[in-house]
Amino acid sequence: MELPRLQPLYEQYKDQGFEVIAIEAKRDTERATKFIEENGLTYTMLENAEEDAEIVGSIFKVRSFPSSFLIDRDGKVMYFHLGFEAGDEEHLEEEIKALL
Amino acid sequence: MSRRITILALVALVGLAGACAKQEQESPAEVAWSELVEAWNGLETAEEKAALAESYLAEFPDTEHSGSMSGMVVYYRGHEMEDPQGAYDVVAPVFEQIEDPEQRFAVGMEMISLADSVEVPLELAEVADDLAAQRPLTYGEHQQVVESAADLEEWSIAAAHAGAATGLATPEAYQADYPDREFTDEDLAERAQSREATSLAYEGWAAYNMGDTELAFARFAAADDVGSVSYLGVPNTPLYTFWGRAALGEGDFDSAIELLGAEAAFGNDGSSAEVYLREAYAAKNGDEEGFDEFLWATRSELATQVDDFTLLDYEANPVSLAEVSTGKVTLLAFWFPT
Repeated sequence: MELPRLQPLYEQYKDQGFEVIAIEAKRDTERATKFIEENGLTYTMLENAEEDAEIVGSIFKVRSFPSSFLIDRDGKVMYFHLGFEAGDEEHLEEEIKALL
Repeated sequence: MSRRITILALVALVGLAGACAKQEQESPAEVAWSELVEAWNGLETAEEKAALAESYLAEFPDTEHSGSMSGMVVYYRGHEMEDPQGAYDVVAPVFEQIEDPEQRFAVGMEMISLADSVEVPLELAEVADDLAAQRPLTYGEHQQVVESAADLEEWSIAAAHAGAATGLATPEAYQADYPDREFTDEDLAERAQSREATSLAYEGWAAYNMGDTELAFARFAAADDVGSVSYLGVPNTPLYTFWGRAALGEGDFDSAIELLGAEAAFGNDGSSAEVYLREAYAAKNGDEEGFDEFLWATRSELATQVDDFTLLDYEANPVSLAEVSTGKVTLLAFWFPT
């Protein structure tokens, strides 16, 4: 599971200007809050909006999960990542360090 | 690509779990299935997941879940635990025991996906033809055959099924695949387009590998017209990798660099674009010197701005992207609990 593996990266780099925003796509509030609490996730957690206002599918066109985008200090998408496997966080960390 | 399909399969499994919960099935296999779905959420390691899927298959080899469970074994034991032979040894007897052509196709395709590391005495064309003798294949099934054929370099099979897939890349066919879901017309059109671009890209790549360069480039151009870029400028089909490799093969280094650039620049998962971009760069410039800087510059040039948005957090406070991320490096992660 991706989200808990992002927590150490967030803690390590937040003082240098790194943020994580996790957006839960399906509005499964009960299970999401339980998961966030159980895993002690402290970065920004948001919930996708309903119907016409939803952004995950309509703006970001995300069809597969987990998907993530790394955005630089100017607000541009510099890296895209689909899926998450053991070892992926090392590659992601390199990308984060290159942008910080 | 196989990795991408597996992720989709994991999502499908979750969907299946929801659907099963609503049924009132009491057969031992279904009871065991409900227990498996319940237990699955608590598992963390690949070893645990492979073991659970294997125990289900050992007890109930011939059910509607044979394909998805075989997929889990191939993914967790075969890929994550790097034991393709072990995965094959679990899945092959399952294939022998099942009768349902649907599941034979699903399990057979999983076996064939192991063929790059294990000897699989199974003909791709036969597995596909057996199911096609029962009913027409769906877009997804044709495309599954195409991707396996491309991995195995069986180009005439890839070409035939990619052509059939392109014919099925319509909004109507997409809706028929998901009869219980409601889509807007716009959404259906977009999903059909994405399918069409993908299968056209494979048609082109198969044609190129069969030596028909003219047809190949015509199909690539057609895929480009349909649209192969999404995710804020990130390519969402393998078109540019295939097209760029073909251009590289033809000695057109400038086109190869341009085509492979976008795919390579964003670190697109599972893409081999960077390898070929490096090759094209070296061919054009005489050596690889300056490639990393070039790749970084390409990325900066192609990167698109994310528009601001506002969503609610779990205390119902509106939070905008801008207020969290202005001046920061931000990872936007999309997820849902399973």
